[in-house]
Amino acid sequence: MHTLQTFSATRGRGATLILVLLILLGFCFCLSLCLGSTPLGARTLLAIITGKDTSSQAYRIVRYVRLTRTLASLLSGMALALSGSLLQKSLHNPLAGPSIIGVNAGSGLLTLLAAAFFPRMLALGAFASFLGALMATLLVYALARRSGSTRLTIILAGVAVSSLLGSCTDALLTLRPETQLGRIDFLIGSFAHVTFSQLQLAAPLILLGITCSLFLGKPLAILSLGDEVARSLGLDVRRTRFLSLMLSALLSATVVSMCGLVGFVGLVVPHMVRFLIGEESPLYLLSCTLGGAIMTVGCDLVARMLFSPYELPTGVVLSFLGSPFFLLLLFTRKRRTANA
Amino acid sequence: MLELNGLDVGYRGQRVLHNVNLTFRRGEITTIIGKNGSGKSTLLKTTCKLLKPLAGRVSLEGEDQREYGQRRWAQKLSYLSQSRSESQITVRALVMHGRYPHLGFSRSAGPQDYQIVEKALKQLGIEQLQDKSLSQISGGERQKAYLAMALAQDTPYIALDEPATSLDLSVQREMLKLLLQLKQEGKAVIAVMHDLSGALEISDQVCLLDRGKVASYGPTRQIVSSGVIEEVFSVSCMEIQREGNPLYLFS
Repeated sequence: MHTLQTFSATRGRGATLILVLLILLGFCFCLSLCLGSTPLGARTLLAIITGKDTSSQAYRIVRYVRLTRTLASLLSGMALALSGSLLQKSLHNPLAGPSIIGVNAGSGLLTLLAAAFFPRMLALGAFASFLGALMATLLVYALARRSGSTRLTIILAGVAVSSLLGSCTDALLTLRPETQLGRIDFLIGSFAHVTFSQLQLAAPLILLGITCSLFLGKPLAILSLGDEVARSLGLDVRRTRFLSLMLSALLSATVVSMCGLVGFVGLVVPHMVRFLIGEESPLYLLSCTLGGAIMTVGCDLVARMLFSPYELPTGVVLSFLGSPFFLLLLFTRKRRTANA
Repeated sequence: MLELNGLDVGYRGQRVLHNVNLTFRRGEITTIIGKNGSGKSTLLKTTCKLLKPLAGRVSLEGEDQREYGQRRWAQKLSYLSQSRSESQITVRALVMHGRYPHLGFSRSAGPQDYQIVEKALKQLGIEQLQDKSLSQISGGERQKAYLAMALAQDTPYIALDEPATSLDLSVQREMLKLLLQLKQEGKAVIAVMHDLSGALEISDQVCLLDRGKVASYGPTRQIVSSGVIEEVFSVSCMEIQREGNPLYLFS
C-alpha cells in the first residue's frame, strides 16, 4: 500500500510541524509574559501560573497587563492567519487578504463615522469597526452573487465596494478633519491598548470562528481545483465560498475592532506554511492558525523590547521582520524546485 | 440508465441545443461529436448537473436529476473537465480528491479509499508520478492524473470532455483502450471527442450535433452508413477492417 504509506508520511510531516509550532508558541507566550520594562524570571512566572503568588507586583503586572496583551496578540495572529488562508483558498488568489473583501474599507469608514458623530462614546468605535467590516463583506458577496459568486466577481465586487467606501471615508475626512486623529490610531493597530473587557468580547468570537473554519479544510482543498471540478466532486461551491468569506470576515473584523488594522499576517503566514508542509496537508489550516499566533506574539515582543522603554507599533515589526523571512522562504523554495 | 428527455441546454437563457433525447446505458460507450461550438461540452455539463437545463429533464435510474443533491449525484457520475487547476498539490492528493463524494462527516479516507486510489493510479500507469506536484508534470501526464481522479470517484457513469486532448498518439491509443476497459467493467462511458476515427472505433452509440440540434443519434455503423457525418464535416469516410474490427479513415 504505497499510497497509504505516502499519505501517512504527509500527515506525519504535518503532525511534526504542529508539535514544533506548539512548542514555539508556548515558548513565545512565556517570554511575552516575562519580558518587558520590568523583567520577570522563570521562577516568578511559574509561581504566578501555579497560583502560589497572587498578590505581588509581578503578579499584578502579569495578570492585568501582560496576559491581556499576550492573549490579544495570540488570538489576533490566529484569527488573521486563518482569515487570510480561508480567503486565499476560496478565492484562489495568493494575494487575497481581508482588504479584498472590503473588511478594511468597511471597518475604516464606520470607525470614522463613530468618531465623527459620537466622539465621546469610545466603546462605540470597536463595535462600529466590527459592524462595518461585516456589512462591507455582505455587500461584496451580495453584489458578486448576482453574477454567480465566482472568485473573479467577488474580487471585482470587493475592489468596487472598497473603492466606494474609501471615497466616502476621504469625503468625511475632508468635511471633518478633526477625526483624522482617531483614524491614525486605527491604521497603526496595536495590542498595547487592548483592555480585558475587549478581549472578553473578542475571544469567544475568534474561538468560534477558528473552530468552524477548521472544518472547512477538506472542502477548501476541493475548491482549489476550480469551481467546475469541485462541483463535479459533489461540493456545494457557493455555500463553501460563502461560509469561507463570512468566517474570514468574522475573524478579521473581530481583530480589527479589538486592535485596529494589523496587516501582513494574513497574507504571509499561509504562504510560509505552504512552503513548509504544502497546502494538501489536512493540518494546513491548523498550522496556519498556530503560525499566525507565533508571528504576532513574537513580533509584539520585539516591538516592546527593541527600543525599550519605547515601543514600536507591532505592525511595523511584523512587516520589517516578516518580509525578509518571506523572501528567504520564496528563494529557498525556488532553489528547491529548480533542483528537483 | 441515464436519460435526457426533451432537453434544451445553453447559458443564461441563450439556447445552444434544442430538444435533445438521449439514453446512456451501462456497459456502453456513447461519443458525442460535432463541429467546434456545436454544444458538445454544454450538453455534457448539463448532463453532469454542472449547468441547469433550460427545458426538459435529465433522469438517472428513473429519478429526476433535480432530486439528487450534488454529493449524491457525484457518487453516481464522475466528470473529466477540460479545466485544469494551477494548484501545487501532488498527483496522489489530486487522485485522492476523487474519493471526496464517498467520505463521511469526518472526511477521512479509509483503507478501501486508498485501495481505489492505488488502482486508479495503476490503471493510468502514473504510480511513479504520484509524489510529483501538478506543476512539475507535462500536460499529458496532468490529463492522466485528472482522469485517474475521475476513476477514483468509482461511479457507474463516467463523462469525459475530450479525454484524449494534449496526449501523444500512443497515449491516445492507450486512452481508447482504457475506455473500452471501463465499458467492460459495466460502466456507462459518455465522451465528447474531436478525434472522429477514435470515437467511431470504440463507440456503441454516436450522437452527432449540428446547428443547435441532434443531427443523428444511434449505433455507430448506422450513423456511418447514413452519410450524415460526411455531410456535417464535409469529409469523405472510408471503413476498413483490421483484425475483425472496423477502422474509419477520413479525407
